[in-house]
Amino acid sequence: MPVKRVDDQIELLQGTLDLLILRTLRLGPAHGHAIAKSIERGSDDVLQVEQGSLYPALHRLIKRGWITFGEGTSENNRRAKFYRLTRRGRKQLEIETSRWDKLARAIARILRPAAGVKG
Amino acid sequence: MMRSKRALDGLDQDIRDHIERETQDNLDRGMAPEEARRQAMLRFGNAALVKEDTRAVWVWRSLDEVRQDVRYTLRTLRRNSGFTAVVVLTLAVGIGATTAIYSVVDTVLLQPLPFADSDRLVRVIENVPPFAAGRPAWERGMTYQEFLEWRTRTRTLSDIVAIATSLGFVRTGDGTARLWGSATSATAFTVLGARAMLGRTLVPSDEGNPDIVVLSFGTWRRLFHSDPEVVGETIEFLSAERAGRRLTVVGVLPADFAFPTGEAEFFTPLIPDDASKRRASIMLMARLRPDVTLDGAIQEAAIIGSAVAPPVRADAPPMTVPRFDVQRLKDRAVNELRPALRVFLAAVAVVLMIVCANVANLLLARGTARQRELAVRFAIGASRGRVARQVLTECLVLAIVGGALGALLGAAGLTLVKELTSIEAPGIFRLSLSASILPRVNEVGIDLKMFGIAFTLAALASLAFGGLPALHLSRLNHLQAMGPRGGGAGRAASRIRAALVVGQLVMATVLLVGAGLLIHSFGKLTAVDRGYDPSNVLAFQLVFPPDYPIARKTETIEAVLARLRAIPNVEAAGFTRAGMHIGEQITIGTFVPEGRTLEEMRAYPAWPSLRPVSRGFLTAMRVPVLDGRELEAADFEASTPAIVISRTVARQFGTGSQVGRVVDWHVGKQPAVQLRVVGVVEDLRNTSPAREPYPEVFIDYRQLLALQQRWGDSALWQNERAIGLLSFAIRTRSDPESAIPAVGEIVRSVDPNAGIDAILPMDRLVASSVARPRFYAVMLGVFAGVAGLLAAIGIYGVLAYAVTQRTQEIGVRMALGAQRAQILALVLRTGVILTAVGIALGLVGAAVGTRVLQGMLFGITPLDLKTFLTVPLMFGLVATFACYVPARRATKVDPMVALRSE
Repeated sequence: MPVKRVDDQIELLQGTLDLLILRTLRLGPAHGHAIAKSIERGSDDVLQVEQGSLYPALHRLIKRGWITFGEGTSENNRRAKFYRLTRRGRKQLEIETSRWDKLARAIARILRPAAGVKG
Repeated sequence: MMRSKRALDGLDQDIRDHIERETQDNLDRGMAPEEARRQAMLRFGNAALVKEDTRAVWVWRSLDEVRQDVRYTLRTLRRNSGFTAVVVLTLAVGIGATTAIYSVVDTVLLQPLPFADSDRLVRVIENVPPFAAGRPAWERGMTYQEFLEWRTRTRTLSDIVAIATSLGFVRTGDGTARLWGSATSATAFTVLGARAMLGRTLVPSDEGNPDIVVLSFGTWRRLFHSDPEVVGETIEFLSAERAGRRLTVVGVLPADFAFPTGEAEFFTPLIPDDASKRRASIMLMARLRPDVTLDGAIQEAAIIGSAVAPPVRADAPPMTVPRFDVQRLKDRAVNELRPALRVFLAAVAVVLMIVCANVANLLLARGTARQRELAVRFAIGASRGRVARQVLTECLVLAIVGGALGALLGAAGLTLVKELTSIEAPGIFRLSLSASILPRVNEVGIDLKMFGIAFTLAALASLAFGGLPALHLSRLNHLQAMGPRGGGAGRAASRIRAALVVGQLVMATVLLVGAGLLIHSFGKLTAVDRGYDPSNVLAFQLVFPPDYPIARKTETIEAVLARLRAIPNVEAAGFTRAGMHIGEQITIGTFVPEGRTLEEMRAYPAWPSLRPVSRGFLTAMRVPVLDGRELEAADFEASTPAIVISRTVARQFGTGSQVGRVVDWHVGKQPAVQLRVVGVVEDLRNTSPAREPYPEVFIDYRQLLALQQRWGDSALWQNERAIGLLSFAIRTRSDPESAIPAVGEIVRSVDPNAGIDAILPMDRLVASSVARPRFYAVMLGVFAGVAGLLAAIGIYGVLAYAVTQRTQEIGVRMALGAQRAQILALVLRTGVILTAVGIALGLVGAAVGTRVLQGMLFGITPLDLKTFLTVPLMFGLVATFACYVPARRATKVDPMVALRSE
């Protein structure tokens, strides 16, 4: 859903953003901007999130009970909403990660049958 | 819900902070402040859309957005209050009218009678040829012997029950009261599966029990003042033949119980001994056997009937109906009404179609006009779903408000129908006029199923046509839609709208012509000269104890008349054997004026009937005296009894003045009696003005009694022929109703045993006698009026919209020198063409469609030229006026403003 295609940056697959947010939040609570930055940096800027699209995704995750939020103070001493993983979110992250791995392996096998890919 | 509120709380702030942080990052990377902010915003994307999408996440959990949509909708609708009012009212009228009428039709025509297996309940009918050609056949009852024969022979009917009308006289606080009851086989209630409210109904073991009675709810209230302990009490039924019978009340029927063969105020077991003595008056009610069809039963009835019933006289005029028939009880009640109710149902369906077309039309126009607004909303980032939801919310809000109002309107309409169909008919008039022209109308409640259907149709029409422009738009290039001409949707929509308007005009014209015919026919009906003047006449009926000797009755009648004439407010008072609107006629013997023969007079198809009256009756009724005079007091003394004859009788007697002519009256085997004509009066239309008047001969009732005594008639026979239903008419100088207390007082003081059966102003009886055609005319008139109005609104809407769309073109034309008259003609032409096409097609439809009204019209044909000319002319004027309003607005266009509006 989030879109931004600049040269060698790639579009995110449906649902991938949710996974990335969950993964980011495993490292600890963060506010929206920090999450976006973390995703971009973590992928060496290959994945470009249209930052706005983060918010519907965050709310979707809140609604599902995978993350929650609280008021906090940011690094430069400003109040901000901090999002953190819930226990259900943690479990969901494991499920999503293993599902993603399976999917990635499967696709890789189809694309390069000779090489084979190790999990 | 709370979670969503908390999460969404401060979303704006979050987004602002986010962009600020990004800006700071960019600044840190060394960008110029302005560029840093621009890049941050670019990176973030469309903030409005983000907010929208974020809120959308919560939509199915929260009503926030729905509430927001509704709030927005209400605001928009308030701003366009004219549009809103028209759509809501249109919907309300359509839904309300459809629901009310369908509810009535459903109960009256479709719902089974409230009895066990009631669709198989039937009655056997024997039709007997009329005495004279051209008059309707009448139904003859069976004798008890015939009933027994039928019961033994039939193989198609089961649960066979005999029902006979019976009269009961009881004493009340207000003198004697007459009750109309039914003597039935004791199994009648078991067959119907009917229950009592108090005590019990008749049960099979009551067969032939002469000592018990079951009361109707009304009788229980009237005679026992709703005493809950009434079971076991006794009532004395007065009787002419023997000393009073004391009957024990065994039960009271519920308020909503109506015996399927006709109302009755009490029920007693039929006593075979009495019944076999009585004349043929039994009705056979039964149930079709499970494997038998109605046709099968009818075929059998013809065979059994011709074997059992006495043969008809050889010279009888032919009948248009079969001699023996079997009829479903339900059909009997509604056969007469069925065509009218079907017409109403069709009319209401047409109104609903017009309503849908109108709503579609209005919404389509609005949708097209809103294209720019919607396009702007798309452009600033509203999602497709969001806009669609907004438009649909608007349609739904309109439909719901219209539906709610429609439900209220439907309930009000139902009350109106009940009001229009219930008529004032106390006492005896209940039998002749019946309490309501719609049977079972009191059972009618709003039919929720139909309300649902009408509401759904209207809602669908508004959703479909309200949503269409929005859907169309969402596929368009937004810039194109925002452009000056509002995109391409306009022209297609215009064509649909023109078609809708023509359709409306066609349907409305058909309805208007139909209503015009009924109204015209009703006008003719009420314009008929009834032969008397019902205004300022008070009509009432007395009841005497049945064991009164004839002499006592005449004494009382004369004393009452004398006292009535003495009331200062009373101009004239008179007595008549059977009053107006009772519809009972007796024909006794043949009247042969001197110079004519018995055979000649018997050859006339309509034999004059005899109306015994007192002097003053014709004066009180203001029957125009055409020749000679009314009966006078002195006539009673004359040795040759005086008679007054009606116009038709005078014509039968011969040409020239009939006054002074001597008439031989041949009655049975008696020697002819000489009578002298003293006057000729106008024909009296005794019942409905649609019926041909009976030829009538008026005679002083006391002279008839004297003749009967000479002939040796029994007291019963004297009473039946000369005194009968004891009707009085008094002409008052002011409001006849004000004389009611005085009449009551006089009757009480002259004879406390006499009771008043019915008392009311004559003109209300007259109104009741045309209640049915009036009901038809009002109903169809209302539908047609609504349809016409809606169609006018429809064409107004189309033109008003076209004018708005063409403002610029009109401006250009005017700038180039077009005159206002030319502009007016330009706009009017479109409207007038649509109107002309619609009305012309409508007339074709009406010519075909109004044939269904055939049976409901009096004095005109379904293709009545006057109606077919005036209705389209008037409707055309209204429609043209509806076109004129927007056309005139077009001429007010200021060219400069119009040209600048781009």
